Amino acid sequence: MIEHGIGTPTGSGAQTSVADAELQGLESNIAPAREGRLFLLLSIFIGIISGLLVVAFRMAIEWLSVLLQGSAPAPGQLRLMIAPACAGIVIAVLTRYVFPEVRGSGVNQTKAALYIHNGYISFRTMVGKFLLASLAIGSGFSLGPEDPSLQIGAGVASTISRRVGLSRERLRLFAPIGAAAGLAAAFNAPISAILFVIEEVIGQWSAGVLGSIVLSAVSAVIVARQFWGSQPMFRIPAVDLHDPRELLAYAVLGVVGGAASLLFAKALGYLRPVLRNQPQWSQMMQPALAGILVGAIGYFGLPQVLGAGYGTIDLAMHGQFALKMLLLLALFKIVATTLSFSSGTPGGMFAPTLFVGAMLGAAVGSAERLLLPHLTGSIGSYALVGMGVLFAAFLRAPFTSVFMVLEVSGNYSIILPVILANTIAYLISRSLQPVPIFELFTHQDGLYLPSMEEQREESDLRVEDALQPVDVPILRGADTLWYTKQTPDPRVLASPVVLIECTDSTWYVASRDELAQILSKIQAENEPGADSSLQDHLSVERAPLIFPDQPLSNALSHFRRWPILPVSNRAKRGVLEGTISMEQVLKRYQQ
Amino acid sequence: MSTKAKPRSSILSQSARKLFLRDTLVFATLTCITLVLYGFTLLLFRSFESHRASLAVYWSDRGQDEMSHGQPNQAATSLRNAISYAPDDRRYELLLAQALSEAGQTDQAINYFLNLWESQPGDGFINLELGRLSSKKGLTQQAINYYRAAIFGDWQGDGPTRRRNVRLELADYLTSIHNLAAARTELLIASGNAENDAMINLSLGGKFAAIGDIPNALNSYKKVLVDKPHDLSALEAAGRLSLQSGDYAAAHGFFVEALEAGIEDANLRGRVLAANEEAERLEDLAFSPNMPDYKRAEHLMMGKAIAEARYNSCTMQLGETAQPPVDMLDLKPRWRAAENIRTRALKEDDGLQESLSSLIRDTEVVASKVCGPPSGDDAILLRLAESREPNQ
Repeated sequence: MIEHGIGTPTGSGAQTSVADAELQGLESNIAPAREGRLFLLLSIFIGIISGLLVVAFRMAIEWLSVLLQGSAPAPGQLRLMIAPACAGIVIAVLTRYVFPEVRGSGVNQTKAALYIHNGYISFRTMVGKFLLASLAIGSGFSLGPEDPSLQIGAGVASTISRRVGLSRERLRLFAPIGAAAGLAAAFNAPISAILFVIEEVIGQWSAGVLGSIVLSAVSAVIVARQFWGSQPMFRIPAVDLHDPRELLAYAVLGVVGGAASLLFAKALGYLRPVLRNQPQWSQMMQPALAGILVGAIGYFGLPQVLGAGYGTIDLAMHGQFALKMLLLLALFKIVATTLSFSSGTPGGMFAPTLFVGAMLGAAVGSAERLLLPHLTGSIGSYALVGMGVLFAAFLRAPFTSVFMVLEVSGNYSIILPVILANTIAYLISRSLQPVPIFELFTHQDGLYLPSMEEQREESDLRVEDALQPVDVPILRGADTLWYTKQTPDPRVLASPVVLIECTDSTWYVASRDELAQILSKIQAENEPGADSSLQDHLSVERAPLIFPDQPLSNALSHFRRWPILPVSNRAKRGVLEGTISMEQVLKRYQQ
Repeated sequence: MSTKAKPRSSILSQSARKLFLRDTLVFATLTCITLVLYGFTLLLFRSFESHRASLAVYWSDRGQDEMSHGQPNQAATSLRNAISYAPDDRRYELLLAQALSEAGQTDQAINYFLNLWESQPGDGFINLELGRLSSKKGLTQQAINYYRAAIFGDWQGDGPTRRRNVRLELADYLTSIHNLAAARTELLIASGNAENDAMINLSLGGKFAAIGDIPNALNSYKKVLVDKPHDLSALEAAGRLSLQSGDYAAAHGFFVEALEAGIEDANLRGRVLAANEEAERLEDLAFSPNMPDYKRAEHLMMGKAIAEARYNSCTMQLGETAQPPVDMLDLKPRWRAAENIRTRALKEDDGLQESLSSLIRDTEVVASKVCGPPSGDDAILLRLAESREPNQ
């Protein structure tokens, strides 16, 4: 922390103590402004360093892939089984004894760091994630590099912010900033990364952190593009909506994607806890066994399911697989990923999700091309939309899924099919699998992280929800005391409170006793003060300006001073929409 | 007051200086880390990129080698590997699509070419391959559309020749699906656009002949013979087409020229000799109305003698007891009426010529049905009868 990091006491005695106290006071004055500036600058550095690390991570995966699986993995090659099996043993040993925190994809770990550990991700975890995830994916485990990249980015942010010595509040904010940078570099798509972090990690739009997230994500992508160029991880074919009737096929794709995501989630939801509940010695064997099984899928005919599978996504997008092959690849990718992930091998879910989506999308496109050749657009369009569909349905990030497809394709003409298919898939998935997959994993791990899906849909109560019509007497503050006293409204004396409208269009809420006390100051018209206005005798403070659209919780603190609160109209100054009282507010919260 | 203000400002500036130094150090350190990391990443990236490039070249060379050795399946696998290391190399993509096509993986080849087509819909080669694959799949209209797009598409290198070859291929395809009128149109366009080359005309002649367009076929062969008067293929083909069209004299001329040019192949020589004899005899017996009257009358008298003998032998073959077919019975009074026809009268009477030629034809046709296939001159007369003398 800055309070302890700088200007530590050097002397002794009363004079020094006074000077130190003074210095600390001054530092605490300087610190917020300094942290604000540092925050933005560090966001850029976090983006750059995360981008470089993610590029290095991807290169490490590529190198390991060529070295371990060979330059042309093909059915019948024994190394396809041997490499992941051996890598599985190394991963199990290192995960058990050196890097115990690297299991899993990285998304939940980042969320846990944010919500449980004040944004803390150890340097060791970051290094472990880099090494073990690259070894796992490079050796052929069916996992992706995006989620680990997200955690690596968050780790970079956490490490840097700790070394710089920022406040706890800032430390916590840095984790999503780094996460966005890591994901942006991995996707080569900054908007999708930013949206995902907001949608899935933070759960809310916060202006305070949004600027830094954008800065870091853009910095990371600029760095990544220095190496990879501006194109995404796969070549995007020409995408178009050939005929409006094609939307029916996209709707079918939504249904197929929803069903596939359900199958995928059920398989993971079943196998992961079963394997995690096995004895320790058995858990040490699981990555190797999963490696053999996944390798066997490659050995016996489908080496495309090994690793992240970007090359295969690219081929499917360019219509290079027949219908049956596409369906087989989708099915076996689900099997391979379920085995790989459930065994505790570190690696992500994004790439397999995109893989399955692309295969199903291309399959629907191919089927349509066979049945209705004159109505079909490019298969690439279907594959691209399919990726978004699985992203929406399986990862439950519908907003990100739409923007991901738009950002990756760079073509807004596809927005209608994307929204249609994604919505259908998302609704099917939500109806049949109410708990999102990442939340399911946290429950299986015994954690209770906030559910972003629920958080997104929580509706905050507003003032208008507790609003009541004005049923208390209203007095004019400009009237003289004598006038007020002489024209008594019988309700004024009966009501426990009255509203007084002041001349500057503000309102005052006076209790019956307070009003009686003011009016008792005069007894006759010619007494001094009888012709003074009522508002001159009120306290200088006024009831707070409250509007119907404000959060109801904002009003709570004012009830300590005011028995009721007038709710004003935003368009017409001084005009009341109604009032709220403590009883009404509590009643509304209890409903 | 002033003595108290001085330490405060001094403390403040000291603190600010410390913070500034500290932050400068932090950013200097971060910059150094970034530079070191950049160097490391660049090294890793460059090394892998160069490795990828060499792997792409290795696999594409291997794929082409396998293609040239007639192993399209292996070639497809190798070329897929090449593309995975150089995904933007169009050359590899085309090679892979060709390999898939040759390997009989029609669906995948179509998908591959369609994908290439989406980015280059005007490419002649891609359209041609799609036309070929669609024709294999039986997608007739699609195949024709792709062939036509190939004809009007972009070609690298010798565009006119490639377009003509595609048009000829389209004509072959149209012929194979019995759309002869469309095939003829394509051949006529190809013929009109083609330069006067013997090989091209020879090919066009064959294709015209295949769709039954004998005049254009003969025309093409004649163009060949202008350039190469002793071209045996053209001479033989022209002879046979002339024979087919009833121009026996021309056929005889082409065969004679072929024989005079010297045919080394004994089988071919035998075939040409037989065809030549047939042409000669057809020429001798032909009784086309276009002939001069005196010659036609002589030929009809020769034909009458042959046909009458055939009628008599056939009648004997059927025997007295057998019930002769109605067609044969119909011929009897006609032959009785023809007994007194003489050459002089025949020369002067066109109606008599027609009547006799009709009797000869009917006799040979009926006799071949009732008494079996004829031989010798009867066979020649039957051929004349069946051809209905197109020159008439």
